[in-house]
Amino acid sequence: MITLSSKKRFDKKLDKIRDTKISQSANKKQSNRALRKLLNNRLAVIGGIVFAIIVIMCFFAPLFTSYDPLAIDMTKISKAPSMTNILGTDQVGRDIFTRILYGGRISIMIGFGSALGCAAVGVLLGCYSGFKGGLIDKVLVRISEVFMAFPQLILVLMLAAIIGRSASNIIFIFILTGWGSVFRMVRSQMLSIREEEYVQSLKVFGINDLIICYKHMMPNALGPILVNITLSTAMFILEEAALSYLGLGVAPEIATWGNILNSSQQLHTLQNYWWAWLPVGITISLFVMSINFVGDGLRDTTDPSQQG
Amino acid sequence: MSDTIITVKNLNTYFYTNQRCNRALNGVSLEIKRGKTLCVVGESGCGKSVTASSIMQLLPKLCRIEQGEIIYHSEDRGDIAIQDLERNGKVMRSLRGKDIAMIFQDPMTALNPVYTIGWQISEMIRAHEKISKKEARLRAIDLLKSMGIPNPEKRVDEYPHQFSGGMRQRAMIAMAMSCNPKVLIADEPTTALDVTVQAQIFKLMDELKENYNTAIMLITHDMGVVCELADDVVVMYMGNIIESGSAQELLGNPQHPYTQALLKSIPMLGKGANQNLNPIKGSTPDPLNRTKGCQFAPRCDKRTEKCDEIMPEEQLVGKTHMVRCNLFCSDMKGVN
Amino acid sequence: MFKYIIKKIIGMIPMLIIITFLIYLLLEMTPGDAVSRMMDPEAIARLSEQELTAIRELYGLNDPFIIRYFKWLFQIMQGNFGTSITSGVPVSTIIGRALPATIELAIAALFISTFLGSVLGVLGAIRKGTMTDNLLTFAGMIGVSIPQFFFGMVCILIFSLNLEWLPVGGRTDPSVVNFFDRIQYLVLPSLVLGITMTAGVMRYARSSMLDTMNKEYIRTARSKGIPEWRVNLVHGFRVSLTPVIVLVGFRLPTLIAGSVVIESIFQWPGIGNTFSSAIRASNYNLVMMIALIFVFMVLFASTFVDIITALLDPRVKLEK
Repeated sequence: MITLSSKKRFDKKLDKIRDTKISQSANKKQSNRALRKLLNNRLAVIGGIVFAIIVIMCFFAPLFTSYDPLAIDMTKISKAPSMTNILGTDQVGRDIFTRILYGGRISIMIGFGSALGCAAVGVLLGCYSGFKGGLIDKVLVRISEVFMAFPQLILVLMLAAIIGRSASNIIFIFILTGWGSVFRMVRSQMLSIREEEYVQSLKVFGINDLIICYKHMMPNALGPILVNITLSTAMFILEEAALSYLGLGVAPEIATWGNILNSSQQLHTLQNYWWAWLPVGITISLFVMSINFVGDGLRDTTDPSQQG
Repeated sequence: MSDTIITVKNLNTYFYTNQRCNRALNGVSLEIKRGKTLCVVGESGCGKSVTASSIMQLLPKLCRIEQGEIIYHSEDRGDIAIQDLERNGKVMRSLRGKDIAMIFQDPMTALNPVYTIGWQISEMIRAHEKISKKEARLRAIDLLKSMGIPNPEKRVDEYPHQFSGGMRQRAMIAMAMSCNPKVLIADEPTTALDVTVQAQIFKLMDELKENYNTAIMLITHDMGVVCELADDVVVMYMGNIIESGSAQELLGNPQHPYTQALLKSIPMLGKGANQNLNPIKGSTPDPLNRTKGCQFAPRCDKRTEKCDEIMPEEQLVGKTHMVRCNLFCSDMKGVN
Repeated sequence: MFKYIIKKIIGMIPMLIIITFLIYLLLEMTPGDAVSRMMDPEAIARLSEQELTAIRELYGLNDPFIIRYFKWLFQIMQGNFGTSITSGVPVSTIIGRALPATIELAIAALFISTFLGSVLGVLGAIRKGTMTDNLLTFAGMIGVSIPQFFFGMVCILIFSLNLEWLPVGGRTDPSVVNFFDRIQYLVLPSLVLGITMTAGVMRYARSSMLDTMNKEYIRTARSKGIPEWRVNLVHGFRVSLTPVIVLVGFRLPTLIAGSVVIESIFQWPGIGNTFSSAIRASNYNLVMMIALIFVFMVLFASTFVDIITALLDPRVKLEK
């Protein structure tokens, strides 16, 4: 009976498509197909909204809270959520809601900055490498292979321990360890674009290689990169959180999402002060999830083989 | 028992991919007769394969039979209305393979790469008959032998990638014939093969028809094949049958401008490189954006104003010869 | 085939040299004396200044960098990984002690993620577009978005602290000897690691299955008149499962990174935990050696996967 009703629903859906097609065929004004497809993806839209809310709240943090994220207040240690402190306070009396907002600034900046940096390095090198080939290409591929042979978190942990743990160092390390995958993706795209006729004809015209490479070919390889930037932002935020959680990320007194979680590592805190870790954890998860949904939506719109 | 084994009447099949409706078939009617070969011709995308898939109910998920009927006149179970059967239901499955078998275009991809040829043939037999694995294997060897595959005892345990293209298609036919089906649907069975192998495959199919009285529906776009094998011919264009009839009548005296053009566009062997080919002008139109009247009108040499307005009705111009062209509609006779 | 395997293994050698070189370079960059990496710290303390210089000369620590590197490499190949600067225990002993626990955890997590991931992924593909599929996709998305350690914390809170079903840590307890006692310690960490890895496998299995179900031979299978479950399982699942299983090797980096985090939360006495505590203690020789072992494992695994793929699928072109 269930299968029957679901079959009926399916049939109705098809009926609807058939009937709307008839009425639409007259005014066949095609708006941007990719945009329409993205907006049709409900999860991507919801993801975009959640993403925007979190970003705005973090970057305009002073508008939403009057506390200082670093101000220690020994009079209210580990207080439960109340009217004055929406999400309670931590072991040294700092307001957790404030710390989440200010922490978001750094975490998002690290995630987004690293993803952009990886994309920039990967695209620049990948375009050239894929277009030119030869010795430079071989050397770059080898280098990227070396970096990719390391499990990323391991390399990040090692480097962070050696060169120090400031936020900018962390971004640098993420870029150093993460550019390889973008590089490979762009390179393989360029290899196939290189064979296309328009590139051949540009070459015949004697146009400068760099102009062909970066002006004519690069834009055609950028679609997947956009998806990659969103998805790797999510990945880097998770990695930063893991790093800080292990106590090896940005200096512990600075508020980042990972650091807030790190301070509640003890089982005692875990069991008795839920507000010290649960809201941050949920915030990270929500934020990463929203980016992933947007990234997935973007991928579906740029992937022509997707039907439905 | 009538001569006809499958009757297709006013079949409409629509595709619903990408949130749009593509009317792939718009009222196709044809008859497949026992022991006869029906050739379906037309360009790519005209709906030949969709017709075959509709008969087998092997359409993609976002695709359905909108209206019309497909009736299988079985010997022991009376008439079966295929369009009302559940797609992968029990009755439909009992027909597939046992009564109606199908051969696909590309034997390279139509066989599962991880199972042996013998296993795949046995699976078909065991799906319809209660016999042991051993017996099924012996049957498979016999079938391969009868398809002219050398050393079948050894070949039966080999994987598809160890077979050449022609051999794979033979294995495919062996599989299709394993349950002695009453109807064999061949969807461009030789397009992916060498010309020399093509001839062998067609000879094989002709023998099957003679020996087992199997009805064959052969889908092709090769007019040479049609001339040689067909008992009846159906010409399709953009989801309609525009001309049909016995091979003799239709090929000897083609009436529809499209059929005429199609026959003119075939190069003749022996005429040399300088022969005058007449390709059909224009290209296949967008199926999502159909014209109102006759579908062929935009490319037709003999089009009239009426052609843009009305899709012509079926007109009998010979004993079995049907054509759908405004040139033959009663009130237009003067123009001809 | 044999030639192919040999070729693959020889192809690894330049990579290994580059990586060991890189690790040695990093090691040289770290603060600390090279002698301290080789010898027991107590032994060093007893030595006089002259003796230290003599040792430096003996070990060739005043040689040029490249020569020192090759000497170091030679030591490594002989199995001498040096000692830990904090405890003076040889690194090989420390790793040897921690490795079994990590392997235990890794195998359990791999098993869980491969099993759950392929079954759920294929289920989603078969029911594509239905409620089941959407729910699975959504759950998978949550799976890749939740930080592993956060998931671990929630699990500890629920199953260990509140319900008290399973212990949190304490795998090192000397009273825990036999396998069945140990299993209760394994359940939670392996489930957390396994489930967080499931999402990736599920996604891959789903797209692999969808890919397979679009293949022509699936239509052939349907045209035979066999039941739909047979089409899905015997023809679809079987074919799409091979790449999923083979890809276990490529999940090793994820697994290693995951084990560092998970072992730290659950106080699991494995290599990952050793690694993060070594970093915290600036015990660089130990850090580098563990990293070296991780990289070796990843490299060997991917070469192994290449070979297995070639063995499983005779269509893979052997000459490249």
